[in-house]
Amino acid sequence: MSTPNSQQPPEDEGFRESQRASQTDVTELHAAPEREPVNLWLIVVIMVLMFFGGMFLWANSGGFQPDIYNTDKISWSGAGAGGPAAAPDPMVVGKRVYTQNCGVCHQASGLGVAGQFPPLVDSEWVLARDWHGDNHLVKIILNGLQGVIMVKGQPYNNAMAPWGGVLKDEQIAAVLTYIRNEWGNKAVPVPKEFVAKIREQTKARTEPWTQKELQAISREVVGEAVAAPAAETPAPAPAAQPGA
Amino acid sequence: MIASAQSPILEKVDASLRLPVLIFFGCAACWLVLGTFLCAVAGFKLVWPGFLDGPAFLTYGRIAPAAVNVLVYGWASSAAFGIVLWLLARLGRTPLDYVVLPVAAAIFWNVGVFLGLLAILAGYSRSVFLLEFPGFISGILFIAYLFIAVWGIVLFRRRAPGSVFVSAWYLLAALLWFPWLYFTGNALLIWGHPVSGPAQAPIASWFASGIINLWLAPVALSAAFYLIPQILGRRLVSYNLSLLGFWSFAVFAAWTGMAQLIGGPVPAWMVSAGVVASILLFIPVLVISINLLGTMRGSFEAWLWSPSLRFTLAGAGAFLLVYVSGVLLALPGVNAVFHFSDVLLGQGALALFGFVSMSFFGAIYYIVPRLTGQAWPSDGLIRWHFWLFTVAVGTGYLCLMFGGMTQGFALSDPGVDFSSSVAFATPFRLMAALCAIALLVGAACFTGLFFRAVLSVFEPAAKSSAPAVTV
Amino acid sequence: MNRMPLLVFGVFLTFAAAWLGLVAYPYVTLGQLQPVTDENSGDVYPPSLSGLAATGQKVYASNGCVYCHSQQVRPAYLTSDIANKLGPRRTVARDYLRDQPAFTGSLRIGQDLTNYGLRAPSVNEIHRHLYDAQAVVRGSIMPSYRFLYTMRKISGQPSNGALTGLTGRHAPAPGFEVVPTEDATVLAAYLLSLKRDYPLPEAPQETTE
Repeated sequence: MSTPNSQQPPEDEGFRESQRASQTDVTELHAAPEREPVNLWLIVVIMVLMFFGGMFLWANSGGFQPDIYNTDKISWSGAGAGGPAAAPDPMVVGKRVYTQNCGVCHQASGLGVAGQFPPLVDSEWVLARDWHGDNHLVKIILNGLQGVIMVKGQPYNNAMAPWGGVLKDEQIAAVLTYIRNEWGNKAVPVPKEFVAKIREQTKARTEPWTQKELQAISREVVGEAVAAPAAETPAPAPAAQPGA
Repeated sequence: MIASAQSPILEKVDASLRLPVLIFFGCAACWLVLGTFLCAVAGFKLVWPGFLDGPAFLTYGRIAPAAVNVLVYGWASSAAFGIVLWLLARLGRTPLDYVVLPVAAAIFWNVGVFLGLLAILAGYSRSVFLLEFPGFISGILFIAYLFIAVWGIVLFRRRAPGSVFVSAWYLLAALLWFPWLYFTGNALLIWGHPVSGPAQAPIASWFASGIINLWLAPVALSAAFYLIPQILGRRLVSYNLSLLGFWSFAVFAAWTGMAQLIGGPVPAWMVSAGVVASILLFIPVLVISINLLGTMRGSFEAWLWSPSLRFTLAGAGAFLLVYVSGVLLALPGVNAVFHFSDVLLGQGALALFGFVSMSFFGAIYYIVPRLTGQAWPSDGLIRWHFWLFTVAVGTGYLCLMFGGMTQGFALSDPGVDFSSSVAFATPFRLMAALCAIALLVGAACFTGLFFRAVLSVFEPAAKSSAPAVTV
Repeated sequence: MNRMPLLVFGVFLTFAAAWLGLVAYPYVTLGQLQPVTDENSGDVYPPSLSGLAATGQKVYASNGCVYCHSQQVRPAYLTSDIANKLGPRRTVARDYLRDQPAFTGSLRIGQDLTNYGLRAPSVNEIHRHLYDAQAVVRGSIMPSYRFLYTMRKISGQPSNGALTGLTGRHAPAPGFEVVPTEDATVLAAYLLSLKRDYPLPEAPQETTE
């Protein structure tokens, strides 16, 4: 009764449509795939899009690694790689090192124990006053200290263990920076390169230092050029000088 | 009566589908009204935060997910189930046996959605987008779904011999994709012991985009592919284009979720894959649009006399628009400015109300007269429904887009305060909220019309054949 | 394409490819991420949440905060998130190790909260904001969460945890005080825990622009 013709008079809207449409069967309308070729321009557009898409994906995928998050990084080791995480604050690191290693003797307050362990607060040894230098401080940590020493006018006769084998350069640098800037102390931080340099100079040393030996070594301060390398011999310095 | 004009086999098919499909559509219509109402409430809350504030269940953070879930799992999914069953049965010309199972599934599904809504309002949601229903409710929904899907596949397997129409490809794909998607999303993010935090962002994005692209969109496309040639009485432009469109859609559609995580906490390659997939998704969208709109060529005036065609075309237009703007928004430079703004809300609204809903309306307006055996009782309400929805979706989309763009520029500018971005967006949000009210009225027209059509089946014969004018 | 097996196979394959890339891959790589320990300071990143903050996450989820507030800082080469002071560096997957679920969010109807703990004022200010944001910030569209608080008559002295400095239309009348419930307390604890400024190997510190 109705023909599959789209030019129906626009009366009886939904009724007419539904009445007419149920006669046709779309599965027959789309039965035989005619294999007419797809428009060439469409294929070209698709190919171009896929090419550029592939290039974009390749260039912005950080090497398909799970820990590269920035698309402008190729890889961690390549050019433009992400930098290392920010260096931790030496005061934080130094405090931890101090608490775990030094505080047992020198106390959390840095005041030491009278007669037994010297204080670090306002100490000329720590703050490189008079004959004391930063190099002496590093040597003490690396190789230890023994014998009688004078700290702030008080004598101490104890032994400090060497820490050079236990602590790394950056940890020594951090703990020295910490003790020099805590408890009211104020001094320049000690960089790990300085520690590394002193460690290199003292690598033959096995004995802990004595105050006399250290006094014989010329003073070096962080940041200042050194005139001549300090003489480093296992023998006590006075022996090198012939008696007057 | 229309029924007498159909071939006997189609009449038998329609008779077998009547109860389950009408139940699905009826529930869907009710959810649509509730969902648009909640949308309007949420929209006004963005403009007047003191609006209906006080109790916990009325806060925006609960009303907004409630609205989305009701619309996606209540309205869209229920309508989709009805369309899936009807189309597969129709295309294969196999009647649906054992109607009890799909009917029971319909009841379980809709009861599950209702309980889920209450759970969200009561605060039991985990706030994973589109997975807000608590674990045991999504379990109920999943099992109900299996009953429906099994029947869909059975209908497909029992199809009459002959070539398989393109709609059936999309329907089969949707039926197979949804359970895998839903199960994975729930198993990894909701049920039991969810996967640890770092892995959740990509999986959640994949799921959310999958619900639209791999479940609702294929069903909407299948309806469009069926209705446009069927109503016009002509074949589709090209079989090869249908093939190309389907497969390119299948390849790219699942990856687009990562474009929502540009700059986000996922590895770079996944983001780039998402960007590329979103852009290459333009290929199937272009091909499908050429296919559908090309079939219409020369007969665009048909939308005047065919309501289903009207809605389907509006849906196809929204389909083109939403995926093309999706291409633009996936470009990293553009995404960087507009990602967190109302532009996302506009896209979601266009996809859900424009593309999916309008396509489903087209299908429902076509299917229901064949099931009830009568034409729609009122053409005026159909026009109201159409124009309210079209104007509301169009205006709302434009407002959210423009508002979102000004908001995005404000958010990106370090010299501009955050509160300025809110101030810029507010007038556009107000317009969008008013559009949501228009949607509510349109939904009410549709639902009223639907129930009138269905209930008129039970009226005595004399009354139903009376006024031919409004038929 | 008339045969079901071919159709099913193709449908399965296309979905499986995306499933492998977007679900299985994150599960295997990101899902197995562990906290990193800084060898120098001994700190664990990301820091573990206190019990209060972990419970606060549930309140955050239950009230749908993520639908307005994102928790992502995007990199400086792409966006101005860092220039907008949302954080010292971009967020990466490991930052969400302690979150269940990960509240990355996709809308900034409200402010980004990734590093809220770094810029948060006192606990009382957080409570004031939750109680009635519009009284605290002009033009705020954040709803009032006063159902997380109890208003009651002051008996003797004001309670220890009572909110101070409340203004606006929900401020308590004289003789009344507003006290946070347990939900509000844990939520505030969670908000204060939101800090992603620690270093991670995959997230170098970025310069602000």
